[in-house]
Amino acid sequence: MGAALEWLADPWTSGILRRAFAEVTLAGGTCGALGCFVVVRGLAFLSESMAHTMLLGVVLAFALGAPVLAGAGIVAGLTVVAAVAIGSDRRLSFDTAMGVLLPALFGAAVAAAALVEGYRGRLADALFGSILGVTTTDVALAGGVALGVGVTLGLFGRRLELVAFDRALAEALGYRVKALDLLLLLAVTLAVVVALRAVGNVLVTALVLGPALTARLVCRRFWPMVAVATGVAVLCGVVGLYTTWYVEVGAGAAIVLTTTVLFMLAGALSWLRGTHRPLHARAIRGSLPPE
Amino acid sequence: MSPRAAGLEVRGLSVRLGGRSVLEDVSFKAPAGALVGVLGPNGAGKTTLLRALLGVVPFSGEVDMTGEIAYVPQSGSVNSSFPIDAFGVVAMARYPRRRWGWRLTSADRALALAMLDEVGLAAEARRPFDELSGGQRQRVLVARALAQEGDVLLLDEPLAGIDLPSQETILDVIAARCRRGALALMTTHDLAQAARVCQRLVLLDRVLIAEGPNEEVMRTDVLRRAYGTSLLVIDDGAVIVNDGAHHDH
Repeated sequence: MGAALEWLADPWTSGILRRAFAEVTLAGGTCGALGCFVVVRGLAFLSESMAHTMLLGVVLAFALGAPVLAGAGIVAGLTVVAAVAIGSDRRLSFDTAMGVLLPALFGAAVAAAALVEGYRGRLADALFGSILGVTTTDVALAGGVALGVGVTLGLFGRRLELVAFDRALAEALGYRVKALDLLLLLAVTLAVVVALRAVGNVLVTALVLGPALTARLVCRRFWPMVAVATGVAVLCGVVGLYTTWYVEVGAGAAIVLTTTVLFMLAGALSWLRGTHRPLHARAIRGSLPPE
Repeated sequence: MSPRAAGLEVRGLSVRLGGRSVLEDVSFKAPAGALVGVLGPNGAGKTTLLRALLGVVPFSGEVDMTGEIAYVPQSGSVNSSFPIDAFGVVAMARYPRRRWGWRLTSADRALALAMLDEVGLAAEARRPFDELSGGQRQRVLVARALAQEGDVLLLDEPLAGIDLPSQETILDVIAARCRRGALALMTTHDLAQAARVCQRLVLLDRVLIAEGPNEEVMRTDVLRRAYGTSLLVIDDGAVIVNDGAHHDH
């Protein structure tokens, strides 16, 4: 018992790990929650592409001596705007637009990384994250984004849900669906930007999609799915950090592999229970009026 | 449902989308208590007419409407992989009435359940929407419109491609609302069914071809103006329309 507790407590003795735990909790939880919207809206490719094109912003910001996350956010935002603009041409789809932008901007980033003095060595950090290098500022930033996303979901969550399920009704009810779309994309962009620090450019998509897909397998309603995805993302972050502490593997990889393992477990669980049995059948509060 | 009678009068309604005229100078009246069928070939502007009445697409012309609107979109427009159960779909109708949509009241929940019961699906309240049959899904969407408690029901292809018992259930609940003074406007491709269940018809083909009581619209010469060569008239007077897919964008 004492040994187990010691085993659990050991990583927390390190200041580096304490900051890392805070970072994965805040950034991971944000990605997990928003990942549910990404999954149900079918925006997986968008979030993937955005995460990769951000690298250009990271490299350029480094070259200019500007804050790296600001550069990443600006390029991600421009990616979304460009994709919407290209996708609005009737002959091209949104996915095609992303398919063009992703390699173009990612290629530009790799080229720029080779040219920018002193950057080449840091490329691995940008690609795979450097959770053990997070500063108090990084954690504060992740906290700010988590808070902002929480408030946004509190205020507009129902509307975002309705737009995701039935756009035509949302419009008919007078909701400003385009503004709500932009709000969602902005939130996803910010979440991906802060998660870059934790798991890096290449792996961040897994943190957005993995927990949400896992939650989709075990939940039959949307908000429970959001809650489960948030919890799963945090859990993956924590398990990943323990793995890094005790086994010599990169934290980003450990976190992402944990999301994959949990997804497979949830898949096996839902397969074993069969798809017909409700996992969360719950009585409805309230009753039918008398005949 | 409020006690006052609903009513609708449209005068010279025109819609242009992307520089293209979709509806031009459409005028018709729909009295309270009527089920009005909106007919026309693919691309005639039936959905656009409903969307104009909803205020979702800009239009010119005048619309006088008494009563609140309740809306049933084409069933293909909902995201059927979204994790939600039948009850949750109907409860959505109440979001706009509650600040920020959270915390529905017990009256909201009772109403949602009662509307599900009215379409015969109270027992399926906790079934995931994506596990329901097409007819059941459509009944859930109609129940949701009923839970909006509007006096003007706008239904976009509510009967397309669903089983007959579901069609009957939906027509019954619409008729019950009309008897209590509501007004229902329903787009459909099914001429025979429209002739049977509607009291008035509006026949469109980008312009208004005809409107009025069924017998004024259901005439070979009138129908031919909308449907052209896809209208087949057999010599004993039967009329067959070959109208392809159920889509209208």
